[in-house]
Amino acid sequence: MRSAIVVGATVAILAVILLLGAGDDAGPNAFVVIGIATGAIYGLVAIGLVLIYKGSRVFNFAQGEFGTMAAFIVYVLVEQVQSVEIPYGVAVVVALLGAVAIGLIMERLIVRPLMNGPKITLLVATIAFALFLVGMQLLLFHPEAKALPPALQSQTAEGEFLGVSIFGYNLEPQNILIIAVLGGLAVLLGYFFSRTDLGLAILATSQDAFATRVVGIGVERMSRVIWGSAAFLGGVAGILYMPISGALTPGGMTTGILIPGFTAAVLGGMTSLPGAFLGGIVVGCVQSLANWAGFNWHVTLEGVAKPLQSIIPGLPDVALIVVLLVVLLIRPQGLLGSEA
Amino acid sequence: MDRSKRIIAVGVAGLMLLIAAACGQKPNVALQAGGGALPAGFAVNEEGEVVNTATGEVVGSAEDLLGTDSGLGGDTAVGGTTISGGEGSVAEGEEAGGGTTGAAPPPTSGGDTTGITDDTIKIGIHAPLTGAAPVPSDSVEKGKDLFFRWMAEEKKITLFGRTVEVVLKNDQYNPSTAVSVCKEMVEKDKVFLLSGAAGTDQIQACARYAASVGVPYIGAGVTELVLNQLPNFFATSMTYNDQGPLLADMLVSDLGAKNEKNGMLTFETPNFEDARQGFRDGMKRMGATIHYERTVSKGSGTSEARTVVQEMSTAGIENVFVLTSPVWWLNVLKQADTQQYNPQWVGVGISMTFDTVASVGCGGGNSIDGAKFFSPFPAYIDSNRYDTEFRAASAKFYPQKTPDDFMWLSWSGSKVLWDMFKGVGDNLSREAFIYEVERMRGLKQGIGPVLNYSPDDHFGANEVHVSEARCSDRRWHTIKSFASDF
Repeated sequence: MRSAIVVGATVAILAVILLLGAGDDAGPNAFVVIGIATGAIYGLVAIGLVLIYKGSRVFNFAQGEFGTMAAFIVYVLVEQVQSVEIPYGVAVVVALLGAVAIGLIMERLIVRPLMNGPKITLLVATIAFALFLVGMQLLLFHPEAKALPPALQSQTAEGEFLGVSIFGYNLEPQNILIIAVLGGLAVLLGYFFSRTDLGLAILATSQDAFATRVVGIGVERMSRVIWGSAAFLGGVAGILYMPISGALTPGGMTTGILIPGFTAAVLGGMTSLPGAFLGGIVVGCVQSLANWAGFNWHVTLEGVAKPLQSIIPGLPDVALIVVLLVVLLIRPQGLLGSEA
Repeated sequence: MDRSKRIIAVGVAGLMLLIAAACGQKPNVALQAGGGALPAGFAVNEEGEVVNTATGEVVGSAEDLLGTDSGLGGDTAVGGTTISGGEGSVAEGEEAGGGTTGAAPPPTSGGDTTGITDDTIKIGIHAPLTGAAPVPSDSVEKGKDLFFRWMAEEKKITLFGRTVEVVLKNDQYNPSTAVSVCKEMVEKDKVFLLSGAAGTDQIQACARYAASVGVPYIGAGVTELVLNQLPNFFATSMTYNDQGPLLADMLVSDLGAKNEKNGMLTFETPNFEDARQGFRDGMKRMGATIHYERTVSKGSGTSEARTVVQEMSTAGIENVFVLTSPVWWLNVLKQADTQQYNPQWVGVGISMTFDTVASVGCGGGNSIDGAKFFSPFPAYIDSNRYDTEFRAASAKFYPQKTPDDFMWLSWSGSKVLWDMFKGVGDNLSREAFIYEVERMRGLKQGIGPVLNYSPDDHFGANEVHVSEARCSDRRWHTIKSFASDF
């Protein structure tokens, strides 16, 4: 019931904004669409973060780099392998398997040895692993930017746009795919954790590993499932996002998406998968609308009207922090969060 | 919700605040290494703030921007403070010419000869091998001393018996890292001088550090803010401030922008303020109007890229002056392609005209096609028109590697340094180098602009090359050389 109220309130706020901006080409409506489109990307990363937090109570700073590694694997297979033409779908499957393998290696070499230590140690270890992966990317793929083609093209060969236009903003097919995948994953994982034995076993492991072991559930197996799945989700996020970011670079997911992804996860509730979805959308919309307001709203100082962005530099970040603080002060567990 | 959970929640929020503060807007981040002064068009108001005198816009606090303890012109300052008279003053420039024109006497022998031996001159270069404007480390590594090796090993020419040894460090496109690696090169590697070719904030930060320890710095002409007060800094290309009016000239005279809608999209760093002002002044002088002016944080991502494209597209902006990192511009181009928005992109800079940018930009669509940017060096594809020895040298020393624009830029910069060293002569010291270089005129190596320095003006260039992006071969092409008007 409470979740329904939160989701309803969020939707209502966006609806009011859209209603107020109706008919105004320079109004905020297109920026709500931008916010949702960008927020879906954040949500995709946030879901992986939440999955690991739900399963092992760890903030995983390497989550973004599962995605960058997967994107690089797709790039190499699709763009650089000359001897044989590899279909995009095959490259994606190989890349996702690669991401899962990296996740399992991380679990075995870093997470499991530190599992019973202080959580802060494990957190720092995830940062170290992220840096290691960035180093590997620099070594293997070199630092210069690359263009990763999308799974779904935006235009025909004749230049005709293939996506949909909403409030004057062209939403490309790849971004529509991201929104669909995000929604699907949120529902699927929500069901997994609430209705399946394996999902419940994972939650039980995260709450009391000793008691879980006593009743015959293998903690190590649960850990493997969690980190492998999270790496898979990270891989999905990277493969879907990197083509629309304009440039594939080492560390690209960490520098571009991880911080908003974390914000989305915290805002939505670190234990809620639908919350990660909602958090991503809220973060995207707050950023986008703040960008719009910063340029279109003016403040008169000493008789000179100046755009808000010149008075408050970094307005989108400031707006996001304010929203985050307000939400956490009112609902410390996040918008849809609750105890596992 | 119990008290401990609230504390944790607020703690997490605080952490996010710190992260956001660290990753977002970072005003004056490059100006923290020392002090300086203001270029033309800026003044300090009664509140102690640096303001743009034309627009009244506050750039930042004078204390933050200029520092209260600049360390310049004091004990550690170099050039113009040398002892008069004495024996063994350095030789006058040969081809560089010019001779001693200022009132200051030449330095005596026995100056700071760190990095100089009987047979080598060691120099340090910082470059963004990773970060928002990454350059291929392999190319930079091979290109850093290609010219010096060509001269020594193929042409058997040395600088008064000395060869040049180059130390290269990665500044990660980060001013703090730039200072750190420059300090390492000075203190640990004992280099004679420092040089940087790309990254405004990094060049400024490293040059300021170099000034504080009396080390000459040869860099690209980026901002004039602070750099115009460093006695050790010499620009080898036009500053962004000077390129602004020239860009406006090209926009109006060549591209018909006078009666069109024009925009300016730049990163929110104080070091770009003089570039913005230069462009504003130039457009005003040419009778053209800037209809859209937007600054975005250096930490901007896809959200900001989509926002600015939507704004410019809606406003019908036809020409856009862009001054950001290449990686973020590529993000903007991608969003522009999605919105089927194809303005005339123009700009200034160095890393923007690397072929990697054209290649990736063309990979996502064609918005970049026809973009025209000023560059201190001609496009790599045209290198043979300017110096046939470059490709010959590359083929000789690295036959397995296809040369590229990073090696080409290094070659060009090395030729400038070579001419400077040659002009200073045998009695090389840091003091002598600065004294002689600031009196060099007509320094011409055929690739970059002709350089004319004076003791009062270390920004010696007034020419640019104009490069155009072409998606037909995903490269930049030189469409005008050594341009000083349009």
